[in-house]
Amino acid sequence: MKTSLYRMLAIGLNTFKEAARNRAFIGLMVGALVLILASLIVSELVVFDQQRRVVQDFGLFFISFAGVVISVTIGVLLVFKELERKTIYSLLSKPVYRHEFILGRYLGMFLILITVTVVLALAWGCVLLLRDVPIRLVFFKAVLLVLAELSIVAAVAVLFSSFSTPILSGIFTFGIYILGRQVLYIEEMLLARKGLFVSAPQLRPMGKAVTAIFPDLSMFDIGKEILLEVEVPWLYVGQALGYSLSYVVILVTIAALVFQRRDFV
Amino acid sequence: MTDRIMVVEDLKKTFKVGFARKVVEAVRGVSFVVNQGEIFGFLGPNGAGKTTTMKMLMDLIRPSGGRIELFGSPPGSIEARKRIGYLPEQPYFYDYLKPGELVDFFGQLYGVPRAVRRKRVDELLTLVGLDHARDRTLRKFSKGMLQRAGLAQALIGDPELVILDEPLSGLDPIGRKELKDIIVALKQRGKTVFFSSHILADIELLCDHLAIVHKGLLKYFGATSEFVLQGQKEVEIIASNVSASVKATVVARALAVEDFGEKMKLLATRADAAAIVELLVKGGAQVDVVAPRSESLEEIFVRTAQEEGA
Repeated sequence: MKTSLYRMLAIGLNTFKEAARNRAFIGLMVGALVLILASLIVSELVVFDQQRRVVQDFGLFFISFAGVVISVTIGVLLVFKELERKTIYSLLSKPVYRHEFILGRYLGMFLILITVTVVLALAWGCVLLLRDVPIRLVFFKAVLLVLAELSIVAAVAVLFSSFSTPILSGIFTFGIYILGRQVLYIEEMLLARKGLFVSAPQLRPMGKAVTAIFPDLSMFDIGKEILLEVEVPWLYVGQALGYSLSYVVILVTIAALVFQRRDFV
Repeated sequence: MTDRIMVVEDLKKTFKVGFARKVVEAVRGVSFVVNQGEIFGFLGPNGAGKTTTMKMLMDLIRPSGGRIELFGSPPGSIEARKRIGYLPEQPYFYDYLKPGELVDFFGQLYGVPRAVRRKRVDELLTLVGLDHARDRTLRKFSKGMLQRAGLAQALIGDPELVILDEPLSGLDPIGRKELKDIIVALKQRGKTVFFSSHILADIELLCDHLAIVHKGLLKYFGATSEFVLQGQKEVEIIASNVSASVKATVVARALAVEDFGEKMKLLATRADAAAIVELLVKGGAQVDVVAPRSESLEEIFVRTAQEEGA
């Protein structure tokens, strides 16, 4: 067990090193940092009482947006690149189980996401302080929930990456992210007495399937609560983290099972 | 009794390719055994099924039939793989790493302790001649340098069995000589080396045993010396001052004749050679050379590969 964890950690750290030395990744990080800092300039353009709102909204949005872009772009290449560049031959011929490879790669991706959210959150914190917005505990909760959401997006990307091409994986992953953000609305539409599912009842099974299968990613967005200064209890955060973990476990397990059966020709 | 560390029995692999899922038999019942401490050559032309077989040994491809045993375990066994170092064909590595980082990373996967790893990485980079390139990332490496880095990563776990897929390709003559020296040194340290190559002269000099595959079928498995002996079926005789009457007699018994006027060269079967020499001597000719004519390993290889059933 200990040696297995050690091997996964080694693969994870190598994955992290790969991203840290990748110019595209560094470019994305710098771009996201610039956008967060740019919210200072944007806030100058609005009336004074809206300035706090702008820096709060923009910062959180860009952390999430940059995280999703990085999750998709790096996640879809995570396994594919090993196959494409044939580095998989050297790696899997070592004393490593195939599931350890998938878990290790995902672990590395998670380390990347932690780095991204922490660095961008620190930049956001600086912007908030510069605009005299007091740092509240709910900001930490918001960042934690963004990380939980990104963990699911990355797991989806890893799953597709284990059997599909990067372009298709990217389209599927981004599609699931968009759908995941709409799951709550679809649920509400299914309960509504009028609207799409009433006028077209044949679509109801599809709507129900989407809400049953796809993760409800709106759960991780507490931007509105921050804005309205509504308290977000730790119980809610804990439940959301548990929800995220469940999806990650299921998705990475499926990815490992798919990978287990493959021939590396 | 020698320890059989690799047993391959009736190994088969079929692939379904293309839209029509056409079945291709890449490996068709290959069997051989590798003993501890020997150098084993695995020969075959392109598309013979060598790399597919080697990937099955490393559990990168799952067999469609047959059996593989490495150190008494199936190829997917972690315990078996801890004892094996593998260099894939045309090695591709993480090009953002430096050679030391690459070898160290793989050392971690073998569970080599950090202090041992550090020492071994240094030794291996020196052994494979990459001392001068320690600070360069692998993306700046030539093919030959990558091959050297590949050998270093294959040896980081101090494996008992080293499996090398076309290790000599991409190396210049000096590199090939150095690699052959390393292979011999590994054998002297009690290691077993299993390698494939197209450079047949290297196989002849290095390998104790060899297996030849062609179109997925095993064409030969046995000692290299016996294989080379197969090519010594003919005897070359060079004689001078051969009279016309003797010439007519011996030419009838020879397989081939080259007449240079004063001298003539005859090629005879081993069975006929003695009689021809006797005729020449009795007829007053001078016998200059009687020598077994060995086919080169390359000639035997091509002939064996093309024999019936290919």
